[in-house]
Amino acid sequence: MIDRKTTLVCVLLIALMLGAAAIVAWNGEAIGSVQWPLSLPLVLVFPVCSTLVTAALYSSSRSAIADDAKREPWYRWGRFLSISYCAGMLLLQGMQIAPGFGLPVPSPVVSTLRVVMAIMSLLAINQMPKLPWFECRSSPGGELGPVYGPRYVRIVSRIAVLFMLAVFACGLVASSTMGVRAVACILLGTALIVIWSVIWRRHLGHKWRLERGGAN
Amino acid sequence: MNLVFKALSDPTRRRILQLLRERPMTAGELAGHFDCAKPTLSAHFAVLREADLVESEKAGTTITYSLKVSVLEDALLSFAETVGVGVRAGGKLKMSPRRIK
Repeated sequence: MIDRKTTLVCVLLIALMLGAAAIVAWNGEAIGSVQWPLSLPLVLVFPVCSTLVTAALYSSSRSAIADDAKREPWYRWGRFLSISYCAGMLLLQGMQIAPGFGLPVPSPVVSTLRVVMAIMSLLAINQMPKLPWFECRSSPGGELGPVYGPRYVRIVSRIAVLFMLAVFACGLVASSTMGVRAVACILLGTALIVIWSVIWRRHLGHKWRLERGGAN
Repeated sequence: MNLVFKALSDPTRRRILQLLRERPMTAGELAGHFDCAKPTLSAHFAVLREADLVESEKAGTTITYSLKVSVLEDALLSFAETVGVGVRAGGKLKMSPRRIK
């Protein structure tokens, strides 16, 4: 959940990333694809990821049914996550582009930034169950209530932390450039977690409706 | 973090957290699960609140407690429960075999 001011800062950072991607595309055309070492899709991954994260956080704040007291801790959390994520992605994109312009970036700097981003993401997900639970206007399974809602967030964040730890461990053990197979495994794992969380949310929503119906 | 370790080192407080894992409960409901005196239980709630592991909401004369643990704190709670930190056996604290030697 993020407020408008944070969204604007994130949009500005994404615009900078798109600007850098446009420079890469323009240079690629001017010099020729053979001499130019950077590929446009690789450079565009950064603004796309940042847009997805920002859009997800902003849409959750739009659909949230919560008062100001509940929103405030989420806004603080969202501000930390979204701005540091977008800023980190901008730096990573810069480090990807810099060698193309003859400015080599030492690999320890890139590795350090990756580790910092990993720790930051873990810290953010770790704190999620501590934030107040709120219902959304449109979410699979409908309302979860005060019993199943916090339980859902607790379990999902636990799974997410375990998955992220596994991915980072693999990234540290594997070589600096992860292969296509590893990326495919990560994407598949992410998709499975998302599908599982949706199914489980629907199940909990059904349970909550039954219990509430029984109580009435 | 010291406050979290202090809160998790006591079996009664861990039991409170486990009960709150199921659902938010009132102080009276929680007291029903323990033989302790109410002031003792209130002291436990205060420690848990200080460590930011529970959240209390007052409605009239009823205080409802709900769980507020991060993923790491939840893992620490499970670990402390598995190891049995602070669990007394025969009136004495359980010690590892190495310490007993």
